[in-house]
Amino acid sequence: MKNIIIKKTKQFETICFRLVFPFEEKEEDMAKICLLPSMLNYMSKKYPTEEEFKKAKLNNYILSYGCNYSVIGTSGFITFNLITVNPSIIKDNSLAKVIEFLKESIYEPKIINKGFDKFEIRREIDNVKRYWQNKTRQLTGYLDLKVSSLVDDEGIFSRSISNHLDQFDNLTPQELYAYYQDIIQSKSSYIFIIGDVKKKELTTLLSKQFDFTKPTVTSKYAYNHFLKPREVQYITEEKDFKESAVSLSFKFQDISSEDRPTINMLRRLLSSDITRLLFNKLRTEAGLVYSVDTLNHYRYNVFEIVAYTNNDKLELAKDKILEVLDELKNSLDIQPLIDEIIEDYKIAETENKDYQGYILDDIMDEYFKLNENKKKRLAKISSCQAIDIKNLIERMQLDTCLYIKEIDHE
Amino acid sequence: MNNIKQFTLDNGLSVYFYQDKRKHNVYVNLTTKLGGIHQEYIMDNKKHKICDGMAHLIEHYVCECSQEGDIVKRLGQKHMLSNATTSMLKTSYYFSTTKDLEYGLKTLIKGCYCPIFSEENLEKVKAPIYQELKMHEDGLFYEFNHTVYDCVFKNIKFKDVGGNKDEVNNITLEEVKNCYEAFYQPNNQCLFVAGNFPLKKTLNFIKKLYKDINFPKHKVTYPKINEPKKVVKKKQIINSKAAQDYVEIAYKIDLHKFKKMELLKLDFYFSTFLRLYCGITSQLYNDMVKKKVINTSINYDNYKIFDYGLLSIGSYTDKPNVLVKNINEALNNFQDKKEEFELYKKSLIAEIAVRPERIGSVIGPFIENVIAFDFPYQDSIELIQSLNYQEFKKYIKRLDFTNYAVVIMKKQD
Repeated sequence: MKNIIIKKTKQFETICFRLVFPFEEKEEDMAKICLLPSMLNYMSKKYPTEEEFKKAKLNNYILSYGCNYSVIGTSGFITFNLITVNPSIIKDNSLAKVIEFLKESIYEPKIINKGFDKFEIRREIDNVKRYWQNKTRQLTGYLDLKVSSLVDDEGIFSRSISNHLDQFDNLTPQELYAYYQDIIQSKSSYIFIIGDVKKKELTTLLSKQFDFTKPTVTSKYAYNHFLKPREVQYITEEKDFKESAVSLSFKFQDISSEDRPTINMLRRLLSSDITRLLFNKLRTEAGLVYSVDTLNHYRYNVFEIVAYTNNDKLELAKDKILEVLDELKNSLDIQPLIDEIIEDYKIAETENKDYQGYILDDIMDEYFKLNENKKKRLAKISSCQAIDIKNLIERMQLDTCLYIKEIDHE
Repeated sequence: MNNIKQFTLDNGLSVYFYQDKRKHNVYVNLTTKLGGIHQEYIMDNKKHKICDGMAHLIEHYVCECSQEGDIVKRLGQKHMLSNATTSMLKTSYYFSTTKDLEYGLKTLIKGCYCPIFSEENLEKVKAPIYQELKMHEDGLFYEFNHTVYDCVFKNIKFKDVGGNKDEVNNITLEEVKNCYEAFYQPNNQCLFVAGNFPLKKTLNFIKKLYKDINFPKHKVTYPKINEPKKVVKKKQIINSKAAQDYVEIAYKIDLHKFKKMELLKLDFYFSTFLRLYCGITSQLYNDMVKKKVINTSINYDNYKIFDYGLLSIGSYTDKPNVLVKNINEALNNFQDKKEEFELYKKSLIAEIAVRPERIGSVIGPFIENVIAFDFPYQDSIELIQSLNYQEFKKYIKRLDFTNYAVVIMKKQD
């Protein structure tokens, strides 16, 4: 069966199912995609209340079940994850029942008057609104949203439901259901499974419950939307937070997908445990900051460095960050550090073999060509040289410098 | 079946080994029984106070100011994932690795026992802690959680593992050194090694490492805190940045009457009780959602703080008083929930059965058993199977749910 991908391994006591529905994300549908997982997470036609749904999970030895979505550019994935105990560990667990539960949760939702439950939609809207209000009242949450809006003049990287909360106002239960029918109910999913299973038996069980004659979505998954470098902008805001931060966002000139391993390497040089170039300079040597982080939004060509400190140290922290980059560009001696990071990657590969989620991610990445698989990425990283880092930093252009200052109440 | 092997070294250190040859990693954790809740000790007949935030400060100090260099950094340089954490009851230093276990053990163990005490180092360690505390202060629940502890406890001063800026600022080098010497003794510590490693060779290596380390000889005891049974304040309202009101009802449960093994059982019965009475399947939750008192889950937690249980139950709501009334009624009116009890027991058995697939899922609860309950055994399916509904009812009926404080966090418009 082409849509069923099974990884058989004796390494784990659980069996993990991941069902994936790709979809195209549109700005006008943001409220719908935001609400949909909650309509499928806690209830179904057979188990119409949270209470009944939860009891069914417990009865079927389902250790976890959940629906969520993720978006890369405008390519989205609705994902259902279910983990159950392998029947060889607990004898009275039945995979047939677990798969039936999974099918019912995905394809047979609770519907009232051709729409999802109005009461549950209202609850979820209130929860989403509160979540975003709370998030923006704390520095890290505020920074996330502010930086993405400042670096992005094309409106894709910064796309967030928090900017479209008004979409909830006119959304009807019937519209949400129609959206669900379009992207889930009328489609076949891709099913990834990992565990100690009998492939043939499992495929038969899945084929009994899932209709694989429905179409599957095959859009352009590996999505890059590289933002263009611009003239640098400096922005200062005074906010009522109890700490301050400086965020530097960079873009690379002439970026291409071939740059990805080098950008990852740069990020590791700056902030991995093994090198900690930023931490060493800003905290150990200068005592300037509590923490300094890097964020690599590679698909949008945004590389961010953010340092948390006091108002009077913001400028100095910024200068030190630039100094680290400058030293890295001009040093002829960073190849040993690069080699250490390559070794780190190799060891991480071995370590990650203990985690089924990681193995499943890798299979999924390769299947949808979201990323090269870990083996190929490791090969590319392993060929990284000091000159590549130097060339990359030379193409690195400061785009936005944002200072968030704590209001001085005295 | 208990797969964890215990050894006690001559110096008193408890060593626990858990082997799983399927794994690619080894995880090592050195835990000291010094956490945020510890507030005094007697060393060589002299009583010492432990300032709020001391355990956390020592964690930073030991990591960053060891004669062996920065421990986390050195382990990181050998591609080992490493960190340290402080909780209410303990301070842990840990790493995981796929190779060179002996290097890791040597760096961690030697590093932890040779901090360089100097004023300069202390100031160096304090600076980032201030900023870490500022970061915590920015959290929506920082002041709220402090208020809950203030309302519940009189003599138990614990509020936050990190402490507060003023107290941390006033900690002296002598206080750090004394506290370190009192608690960082092998007989007050445990070493856990889990994953794929050679048992005998590792044990011999650990023994050899400890043989070379000299420990100062002190007589240390930990006095009991005399905490009154009643909560300090019944109700407190604070303002916050939150987008909706949040209310918490914090019950102060007297645990003096429970024996050691009973406390372990109580831990299971208590968490089952909370799931049955406040969880998604509870009547309380479903009634409150239907009546639009809440629209999200009810949060609940229980901590054992010395001889008291702190049971906190709360949620976002526009009707805090209605929610408090209903929580109280639910907890004080025992209902027959045998069927659900058996269902949760079944799910716990499943959870324990799959723990071996992750080192952390085996070793995390085990450390908890050792440190919190002085019970050096894994949770077993047999143990869970032995728990029963009649006993559950008896245990729960011994708890007093009339002694509580209510804290309301008012929203900011």
